[in-house]
Amino acid sequence: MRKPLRTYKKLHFVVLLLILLVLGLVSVWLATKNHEPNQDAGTVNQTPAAEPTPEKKRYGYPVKLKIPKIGVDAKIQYVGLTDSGDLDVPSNYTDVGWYKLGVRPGNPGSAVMDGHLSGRGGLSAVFLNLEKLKKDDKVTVIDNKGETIVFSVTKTKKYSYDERPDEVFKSQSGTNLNLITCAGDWSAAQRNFSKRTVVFTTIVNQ
Amino acid sequence: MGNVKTITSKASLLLIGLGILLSVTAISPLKVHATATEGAPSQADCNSGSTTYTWDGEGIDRPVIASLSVDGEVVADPTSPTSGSIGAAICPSTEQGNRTGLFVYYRNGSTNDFDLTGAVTPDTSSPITADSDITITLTDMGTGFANRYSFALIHGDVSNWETSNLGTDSASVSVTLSPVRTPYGNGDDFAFCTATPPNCNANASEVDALGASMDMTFNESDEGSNDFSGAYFALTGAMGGFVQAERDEQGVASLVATLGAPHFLANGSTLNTGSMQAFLPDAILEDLLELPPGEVDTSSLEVTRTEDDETEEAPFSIEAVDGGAIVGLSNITFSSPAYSISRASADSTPGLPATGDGPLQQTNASSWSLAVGVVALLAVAFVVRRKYSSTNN
Repeated sequence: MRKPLRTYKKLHFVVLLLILLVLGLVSVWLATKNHEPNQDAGTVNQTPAAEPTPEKKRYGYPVKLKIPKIGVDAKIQYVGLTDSGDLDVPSNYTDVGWYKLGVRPGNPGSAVMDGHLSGRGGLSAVFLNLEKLKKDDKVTVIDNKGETIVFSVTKTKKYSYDERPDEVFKSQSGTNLNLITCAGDWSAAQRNFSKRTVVFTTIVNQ
Repeated sequence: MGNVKTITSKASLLLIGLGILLSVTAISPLKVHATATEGAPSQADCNSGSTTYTWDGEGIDRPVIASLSVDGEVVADPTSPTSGSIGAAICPSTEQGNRTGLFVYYRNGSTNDFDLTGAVTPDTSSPITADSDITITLTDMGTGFANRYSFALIHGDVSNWETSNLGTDSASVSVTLSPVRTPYGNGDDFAFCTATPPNCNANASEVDALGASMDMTFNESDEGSNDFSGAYFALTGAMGGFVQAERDEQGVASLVATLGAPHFLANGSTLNTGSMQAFLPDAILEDLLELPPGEVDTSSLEVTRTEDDETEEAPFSIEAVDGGAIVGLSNITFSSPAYSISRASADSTPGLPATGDGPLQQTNASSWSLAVGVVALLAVAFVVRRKYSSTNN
């Protein structure tokens, strides 16, 4: 009768061992995965922007942004500049901001939108997963005329937080929509992330 | 020849008074009347009489002055007023009538005077002053050759503005305005004050009149949509004005109003300072100036003043009103400043936004995950080691 008991204890031990092993491996994998965005400081997915195409249609003002892949379905606020000349941000963590001194999405040139990566207390925000977008992923803007404008991701690039990149705001080549959010390491002292991620997209439909 | 002189002078005064946009060579310096404001043509002159262009002469239809009242008192026959009253006439300024002037005059004895000083209201004979409200309704604004009314440059202080059926033959305009100080002059120095755009060289006005008029622009039928449809630009202290849309190399549109007037009032020493109130309908704000809906504030627009090749920022006000916004400019000095209204733009490339308000939750979570993982693996290692130890023993 002792033999079955010993077998049972042995089995119990192996199961416990496996659980601990899986738990450990999964935890380490999760920890590593969540740090990935902070490791990259260069250009990824460098695909040249699409060739400029002649534009005829004039779109209205953006009211909604949808990015199905990362679950974004956000209202659009119109934002200008801060006193220091930086692009202002939406007043909450769920909306995105369209740079109202720039180009309208769908019109020739580069329209720009930004959204929070995180909120106070580490709450996630609308562009938490912006970096997960890859080439050819679709981004949709609805304008105030009810028109749908579809963009396709061409590349993602990171910048230092204090850069003023012309290619993001002033590129006149093509009809683009550039999406910005924070990236890099959080500085508690400066209350700022060290980098910015910009997802470049170009129009699909005309 | 005396009749010819009178006719020529009437035409000249009309052009100067309305700020209408003709070559200056057509304007005669002949002085037949006692002052620069006398000799306003009647409606009969504009129909088939003595003005350079006439409705009958050009064979084009004219808008109709449907009603004229002042301070609520109706002028019974505005195109043929009795002495002492005010009247109104509408006259083509071009052969096609695509520029047309409406002016209010004072029937003073046998003379029509652009200066309303001395005129009285029709019922109570109250003096007409800068506080009087003159209400004019114009109908049938789709004139001959299918020109359609678009916008107006007004000499007056507008308190009410209504348009209907714009873009059709039956378009109508109803405006309530108070007469304003308007400089007048006959000499060569004044000739370019009403050119297109004005290039005024006059030092001082001959008369600072109490004037009320409208210079209206009509589109040709094949001209398509007009940039300024439904807009008005109300001026004080200006003789002439010209408004046009411009686009820079990046395609950014601006609305440029060039105004013309003498430097000084008729006394020769008081600086002539004017004002402009521009009513810009929503369509102009959103489609031409690309101002987002609801973004009507001074941070959304920028206004510059250019004169003698020098450009500087100009202070302005903006007020949202039903159907659009009113942009106000004050303390305008002359001779021929050009005011450009455009959407505000960044002087330099913006900095990237601060779109994070705190460390990511995942960062905290991942720390915990790492800790749990390490502990679990250590536990595994400990148990395995212990097992091996007990097995060996």
